[in-house]
Formats: sequence, structure tokens, C-alpha cells
Amino acid sequence: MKLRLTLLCFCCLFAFSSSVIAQQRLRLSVVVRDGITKKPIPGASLLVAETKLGARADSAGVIALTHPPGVLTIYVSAVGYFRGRETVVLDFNKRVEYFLQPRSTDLEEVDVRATRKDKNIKDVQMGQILISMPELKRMPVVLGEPDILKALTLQSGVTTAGEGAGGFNVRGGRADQNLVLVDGAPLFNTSHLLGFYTNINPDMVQDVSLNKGAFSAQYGGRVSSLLLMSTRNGNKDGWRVSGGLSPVSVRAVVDGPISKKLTLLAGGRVAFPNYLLQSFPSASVKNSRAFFYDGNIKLTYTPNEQNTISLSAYRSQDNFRFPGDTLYGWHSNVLTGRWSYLVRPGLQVNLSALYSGYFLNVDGVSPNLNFRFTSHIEQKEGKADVFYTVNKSFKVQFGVNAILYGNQTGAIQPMGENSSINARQVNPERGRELGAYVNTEWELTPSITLMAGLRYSAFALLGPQTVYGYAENLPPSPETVVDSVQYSSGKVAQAYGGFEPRLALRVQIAKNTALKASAGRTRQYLNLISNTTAITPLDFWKLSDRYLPPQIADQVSLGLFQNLQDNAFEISVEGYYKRLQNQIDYRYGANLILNPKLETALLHAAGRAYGVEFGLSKNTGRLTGQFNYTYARSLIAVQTPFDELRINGGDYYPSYIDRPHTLNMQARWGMSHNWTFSTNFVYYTGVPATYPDGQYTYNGDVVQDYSRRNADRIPDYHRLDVAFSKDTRFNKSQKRYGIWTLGIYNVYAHKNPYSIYFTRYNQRTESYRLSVFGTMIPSIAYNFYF
Amino acid sequence: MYRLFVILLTSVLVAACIDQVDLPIRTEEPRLVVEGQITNEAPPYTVRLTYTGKYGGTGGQNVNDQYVKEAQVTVADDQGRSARFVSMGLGLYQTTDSTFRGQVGRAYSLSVVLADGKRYVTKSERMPAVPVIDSVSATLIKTGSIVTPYALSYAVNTTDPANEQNYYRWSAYGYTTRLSMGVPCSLGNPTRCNTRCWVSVSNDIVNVYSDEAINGNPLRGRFVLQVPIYAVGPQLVEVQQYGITQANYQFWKLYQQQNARTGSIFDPLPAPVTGNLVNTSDPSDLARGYFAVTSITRRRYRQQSFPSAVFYSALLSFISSQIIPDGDCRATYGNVPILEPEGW
Repeated sequence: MKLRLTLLCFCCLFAFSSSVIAQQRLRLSVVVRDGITKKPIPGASLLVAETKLGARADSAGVIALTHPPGVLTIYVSAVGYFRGRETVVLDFNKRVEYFLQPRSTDLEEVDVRATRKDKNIKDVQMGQILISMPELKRMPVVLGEPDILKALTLQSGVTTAGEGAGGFNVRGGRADQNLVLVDGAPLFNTSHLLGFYTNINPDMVQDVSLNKGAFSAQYGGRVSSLLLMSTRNGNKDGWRVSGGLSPVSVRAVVDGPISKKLTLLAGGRVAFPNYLLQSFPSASVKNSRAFFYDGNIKLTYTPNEQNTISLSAYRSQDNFRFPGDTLYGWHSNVLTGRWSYLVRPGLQVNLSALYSGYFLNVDGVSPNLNFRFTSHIEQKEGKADVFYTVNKSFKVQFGVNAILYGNQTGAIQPMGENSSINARQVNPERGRELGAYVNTEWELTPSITLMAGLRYSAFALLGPQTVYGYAENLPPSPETVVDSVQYSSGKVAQAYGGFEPRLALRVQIAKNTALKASAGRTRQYLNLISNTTAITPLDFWKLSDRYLPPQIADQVSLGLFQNLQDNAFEISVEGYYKRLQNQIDYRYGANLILNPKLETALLHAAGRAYGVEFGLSKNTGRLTGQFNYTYARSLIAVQTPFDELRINGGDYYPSYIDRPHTLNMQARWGMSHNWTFSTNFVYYTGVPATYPDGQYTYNGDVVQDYSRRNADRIPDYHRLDVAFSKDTRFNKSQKRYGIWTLGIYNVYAHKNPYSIYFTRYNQRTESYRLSVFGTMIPSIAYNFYF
Repeated sequence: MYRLFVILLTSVLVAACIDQVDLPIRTEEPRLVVEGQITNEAPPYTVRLTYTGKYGGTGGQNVNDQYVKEAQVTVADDQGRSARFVSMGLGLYQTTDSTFRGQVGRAYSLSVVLADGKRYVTKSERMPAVPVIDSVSATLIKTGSIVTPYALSYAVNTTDPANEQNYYRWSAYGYTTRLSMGVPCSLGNPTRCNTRCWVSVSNDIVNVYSDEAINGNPLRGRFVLQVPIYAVGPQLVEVQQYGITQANYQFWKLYQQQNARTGSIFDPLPAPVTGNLVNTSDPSDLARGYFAVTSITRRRYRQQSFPSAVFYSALLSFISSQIIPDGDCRATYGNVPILEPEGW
């Protein structure tokens, strides 16, 4: 009882009282903790045997409920723990701490998908993926480096542009359409090593949830998905060190109490990929040099039960040097501060101040033309959220946020004395985004829950800005500029805004069966400008302007969820249809870098995506796992009045992320002596590609002609991975232990195409396939907890 | 554990691999391809018209089928003058009017009417000026090649005018000295002739540059040509510096971009290399290639001796290790002009 409780945001408190009837009831708070680590268990649930009243823990592991006085038998349970039973005499407002013993030694602690056994039936949300961190470290991955985004791409509806590509795509959306929040602040880039790894250290993360469908009105600004990652709070009971070693990097995290009320979590990861690069046969890779690191610090101050203040900082840095000439460097900085105030049970206020920045620099080294190119985007955000549980069946949440964007799409300056380069920059952009929302969750009957939310967002592009006007009946180009308007500093150059309704409905049609539907609209005032299939660290962000209206997505989805055998099996079928407006496509030969009239290089496009996701998972027993099959399409059509600019005649064509069939299987088998065997199998249709469909001679050379975009497909992809992991604990209360993971990536050494390319050799053009991980790749990784 | 690390390291060595694959290849309708230019130099001007052929890895193609026959090709300026091109066969068309000469500042457009009546035109483009070449410089380099390990690398120096947007293109060709045992100068004469000749060297690199980043500054050391060294003796190069239009510059950038495709996911999106010749009745029917309106300035440069370099002695030992073949030098090395090039 000596410890104060910690409350974070994101949590909706499940309380039974309204203030009117509170006099007849007493307050019972139960802090549920892990019996070994003493850490709070979010999502634990409580049931009072006598009255059948129950509640669920918030993200700080606190279960709050009000109950008439009496002697109560309570059951406390959480996924991955043995159920606990306790008798409580409720004669005055009480606070109880309860420790649950983990099932860790029989290795059932891991449950990838749900924090509650029947969450998929009881929750109104659909299209949600949760990843557990212990699970992540036992998965077979390339070179033993646990990676959150790579784990997400094993789930239905989540894809990447290619093996080793950065970013991810959700339900046919582009990589820039995912709102990736770390402690509430957005990350503008998620790649280490040009995309081979994710820049979030999994040791720092408490939980990860990805929302593929209509997400809560609390969030906005990206149209396709919401990925929430929250870092852990420091341990209150003592100092701990954990970390890991993989063939690519070394990681360490220290956490513990600085004082009774203040905890610290600090960690970092440093990579040493150079010896791997040197082993590549291609000279351009072999002589490249790379380095990256990332680090987090989090301070959590809990002066009393009502208040929690947390500060967290994050930085990631990458350098990549191609042989001889060019050095690429990119880094991200994130700072967040949050004050969480529990006014009374059922009413919580969160105030946040957030900063996120992404910076790129390219140093070019060539005689007389040395230069440094830079681009960056920064976001400063203030946010207030109120969570109010009116009564057992009605919860309301509302809030406001304000964002200031500072964006530089490109600037170049000479380096050294003899450089002929002139300093030059594209007009920097400033923007303002304001949002207000209300979100309600209403349990109409025990079997029908409705979530209804409405968000309003307003964006303004602020001066100084020069906006060019173009001749009306000609394709916009630098030659067709007819006028230009100057906007002075702070003046609104362009404004956009609109409502974003979000709806979700759950109807429980039988004890273990639920039907869910959701619909939502989202708006995005930012675009990532990238003329390549996969996103790269070189891509830059661009705010909406006169010629670049906000991206808008409308998605409807419908799902059927069925649990069998006491929630041991979960079956789900979800279908969705998504319409995307104001997408960007690029004119042939578009010049994007340092282009002050970028709009002349861009085209508008409409997109649509639809699909069906089928999932089956087994969550209990020695054998657990899941099976997902997805049929999904993603199409795009360029919309322009000028025939000559249309791509594929303006018809809908498969986008780069169109992957009709995807099959993922994952299985884990808990073996004796604390060994766990896990395996993944992945199969998907090859992504669209454009093969040459003609050739001619020009300038003395043979030129391939590509007349129809994305009319071909690269061969299908499939791969099997296995991993064995050994937990060195002898009993479940052992605090110091390690986990060894021995994995093999691509067991049967299938040469999956990373790319197809065409080269002339001896007067003949031949097609070649490059496989990056074209053989089996064994790895060993070690994670420790001290 | 140590052994496992060793296994890991060795297996990564072969991780990335490249294989030839057979793929189903589509064939699309043939498209018109245009290649040609009008310059400020004396006529004739030439335009080459072909069609795109079938993409062929193995079977190849019948090049004769692709030449455009019986097209009516005309170039017109902004003062109402025009000149017709006459078919020379093999898809080549040439102007015959020797008084029709391109001038800087004048605008020109090309019109092509095919035998089936389809009409293609280019938007009128104004011929840009080109600054003169200040100098050509040579550097002795190692090439990395086994056959010709040493070469002279030629670069051009020019001064970019500050008051205008300039787009450059360079091409160059040169001659390098080669030796043979020669032939008797005349019957029974013991002295031998034609022991030394001038082998021509050129490249088809697309070498374009925009003054966007360096406007008004000197442009120093822009590489144009590499000429291998076989023997002690002079080298001669001629550099052409073109002033090209912005649209033509963009075309060449697209051409470079598309020809540098490696098929990776970091490649720019594939695109047809279309230029300025458009079907008048179907604006989406764009011919591949470009009809350019450019100005040219030329400069010749003769390098008599080798500039100093740290590997100078290695170069001399390479030269002395060369086996000098018998016979007339001009007949020994293939593509050698019979007459001495001007300025040699």
C-alpha cells in the first residue's frame, strides 16, 4: 500500500457510480500488479461474486468501482496470469493492492492479440491489432532484431512495399497515412537503415495497438490507421536492467525509482550493421557505411493518487554513406509532457504538450560542387482530453488540440570554399491545425454498444507564401504561370476544414458471437512526397495548399466475431470498403527536389480499396497461434482534365500496394524445459510492377518502353521462419533471467523477388530477379532482465 | 555460441542473390519515336523516325519493319518560313534547303504526317543561346579496367551567365594514339610508314546540367569524355556544348532516370520517355524521343604529353609492355580514319 497509483491517459475508467448515488455506495480501488515484477497489469478484470458487478483496469492497472458495503468475494483475472480470489470487507472507501502470479514458466504469458479473453466480442472497436512485447522477442525475425512494424505486417490488412522496405500500409492506404504516435506524439519517419528496421526500441514499449478501421474521434490527422505505442513507466519497486543483443544491435534499458514519487526509465540501442553490409556482393552496398542509434528517457512523477505527470524524450539518428560520395543523415526528435488529473473516479483530465521533428541532411561530395541539402518537418501540439464516465453504460470523452507545423521541403547550401553551388531554398511552410472532438460510448443494452464520435478539424496554411496561378486550359507548368499572390507572414494563404464523423456499433447476437459495423471519415493535411515505390528517408513532407487539398478517406466495415470453447478460439471475418480522395500521383519525369512550383509535378488521383479479412486464432493451451487470410484490392485513378497527363488513360489501375491474396500463419508451441518453438508462414501475391512492353533505339542506345503502369506483377512471395527460444528461469519468481532466441528466417531458402529488373547483356535484354534475403538466415539473439 | 556466430556470418555472405528469370511480357501497339534536332550550325538537319518494337529478350526484332516510311516532315520557324525533310531511307529524313538555317532566338516546330494520315506536331520552341567553352582540361586517371588501365579524363570549363536560365548538354569525341610496326613506305624501302595512327573514341553518355544550383557561377571541371592511353603520343578531343531548352532538359532527365532503373523499390516510377511530338487529334498519343531546338558551341583541344600523376611510372611501364602488332596502323585497329584528323 505504500505505493501511489499511477494514472496515464488513454484510459477510460470503468466505474459504476454516478455522483448522485455515491452516498449509499463505497469506493473500492484495486491495484492489480504482477506478482514478480510488481508492475501494474493494464486490462486486468475484477468480478464481485455476490453481485456479479465487474470492472476492468485502466492502463495503470487500477480497477475502480463503487459498491454497496458488505463482505465481498472478488475474482481478479488477467490474460497470462492465474486467476486470484480474495475476500474484502467493504466498510469504508478502500484501496487494495492485489498481486497476480504469472503463468510465465509454462510460457503462456504471451497473448498477442487480446488483453481480455473475450475482448473481440465485448469491445465495440473492430479492426484492431494488439502486439505483446514478450511475444515479439520470441518471434523469428531477420537477424534477431525484434521489430514492431515487421511484426504488424504479419497481421491481416497490414503490408509493406517490399521485404526490407520502410513504413507499412494499412488496408490499401499509403505509408504516409498512418498516424504513428509514441506517447501521443507523431513520428514522421519510422525507419532505421533505409527501412530495414523500425526506429522504435521494443524494450521501451509497454503496448502497441493498431487500428485499421474507423478509430476514435480523439485522433485525427492521418487517414488510414492509428498506431499507438506507449512507453513503459519506470519500475517503482527497485532498479532493474534489461536489454538484448542481436547480430545487428545492442540494447539496454534501466528503470527504477529516483524517489518514492518519481520514476525513471532510460534506454537506448546502438547498431553495428557495417560488417553485414560488407558481406553483400554488390559493391555499392559492400562499401557503404551505416550507423544508427535511438534512445528514450521517461520520467514519471506521481505526487498523489490523483495526479501523474510524465515527461518523455526520444531521439533516433541514422547515417548512411554510399561509397565515396554522398552521406545521408536523418534523425527524429520527440518530446512529450503530460499531466493526468483524476478529478474523481470516472472523471479524468489529460493535458499534453507534444513536439516532434524529423530532419534530413544529404552531404554531396564532388569536386567544386560540394553541397549540403536539408529538409525537415516539425510539429508542436497542445492537447486537452476529458474522459467522463457518466454511468455504467455511458461514457463520454471530449477534447481539443492545436498543432503548429513548420516545414521545409528543401534547402541547399554550398560546402567548402570552391563550391559553385548557390545557396537556395524552397519557401518554408507554416501551418496550423485545430481540432475538437466528442466521442461517446453507449451501452444501449448489454448486447448492443454504440460508439459515436464527431471531430472537426480546421487547417490553415500560413504566410509568408507565394501562390502561383496557372493558365486555365493548359497543364500547369513553370511556363504557364500567369500570376502570383504573396501572403505576408501569419496571413492565411489557404484554409481547409470539415467534420469527421466516426461510428461503431456492436451487436452481440449470441453469448460468444458479435456483429460489428463501423464507418468513419478522416482528413489529412499532410502528404509525403515520394516518387518511389517504397518510402525512403529522402522523401519530404508537404502541407496542404491551394493545389493540394487535404486527403480524405471514408471507410465502412462490417465484421462477424465468434469465440469458441471458452474463448480459446476466436474466429473473425471483416470486410471493408475505403474511398480515398485527393491522393497524389506524379507526372512522368517529375522533378520533386527543390521545386518551388511543386504543384506542376503533381497529379490528383482518387483511390479505392476493399477487402475481406478472415482470421482464426487459438489463444490458450500449449499450442497457440493464428491464421489470417486476406483478399484485398487497392486501386488508383489519376484525375486530370488534360489527356496527355493521364496515367493509364485515367482508368483505375492497381496501386503499388495492391496485393490480392495474403496468407499469414503463426504458431507457438510451449515445450518442456522452458523452450518455446514459434513459426511463421507468409504467402502473398506479388505486388504490381511495370515491365517494359516495347523497345527502341535512341541516342545510340536501346531504350525500354514502359507504356502501361502496373500492368504486370512480380512473382508471388512465400517464406517460412522458425525460432526456438529458451527462458532461463527455474521458477516463476526468479527476477534475473535471460531469454535466448535462435531463429531461422526463410527456412527453405526461397528466393523471393525483392525486385525485377531488366539489363542488356551481349545485345540481349534479360530480366533478372534480385532476392535480398534469398537464402536461409540464421540468427541468435539474447534478451536479459536483471 | 561462438560457433553459431560464425555460421551466421558466413550465411549472410550469400544472402543477396541475383538470378535470371523468365517473365510473361506484354506487347503494346507500336509508338512513334522521333530523334533529331535543329541547331545554329549549317544544315542539313536530320530527323530519325521509327516505331517502338516488340520488347525482345531472345527473339530479337526485325529492325527494318520499324522505320517510318513515306512520312511528310517539315520544320517551320516563327516567321513563316519552313523547310521540308526528304527521306534518306532507314527512317532518316534530311533537309535539303541550304538557306534554312537555325538561329538563336528564333522559334521552331516540327510537323510529321504519317502515311496513314496521323499528324504529329511539336510545340514551338525558341532556340536558346549557349555560352562559349572557356577551356578544356585533362587529368590522368586510372580506369580500373585491365585492358586500358590508364586514360585521360577530359573536362569542360565554362562560365554560366547570371541573367538567364541555362540548360546544358555536352557531347565529345576524341582520338588517341596507337602504334603498329607499319608497312614499308614503298616497295623495297626499309623505312616503315603508318606506324602511328589516331583511333577515334566517343561515348553516348547523356550529359546534361541545369544552372539551377549554380546560376551565374563558373562551371568548372564538368566531365565530358575519357580517352584511353595505349601509347606515348598526342590525344585530340572535340567538345560540343549545347544550349538546350528547359523542356528538352527535362526530357533528358527523364531519359537518364528511366535508363538507370534497376527495378528496385527505390527506383523512380517507370514512365515512357515521351518528348514534345504529339498527335494533333489524340493528345495522349505522345511520341517517344524529342525534336530538339539547340545551339552548339565547339572547342578542340590537343593534349601533347601526359600530365603528371603519382602513378606516372606505372603508366610508362604499361605502355612499354604493350605488344605492337605488324601492319598498317590504320588497318589494325578497326575504326580509324584514313586521313589525319584536323588539328592532329
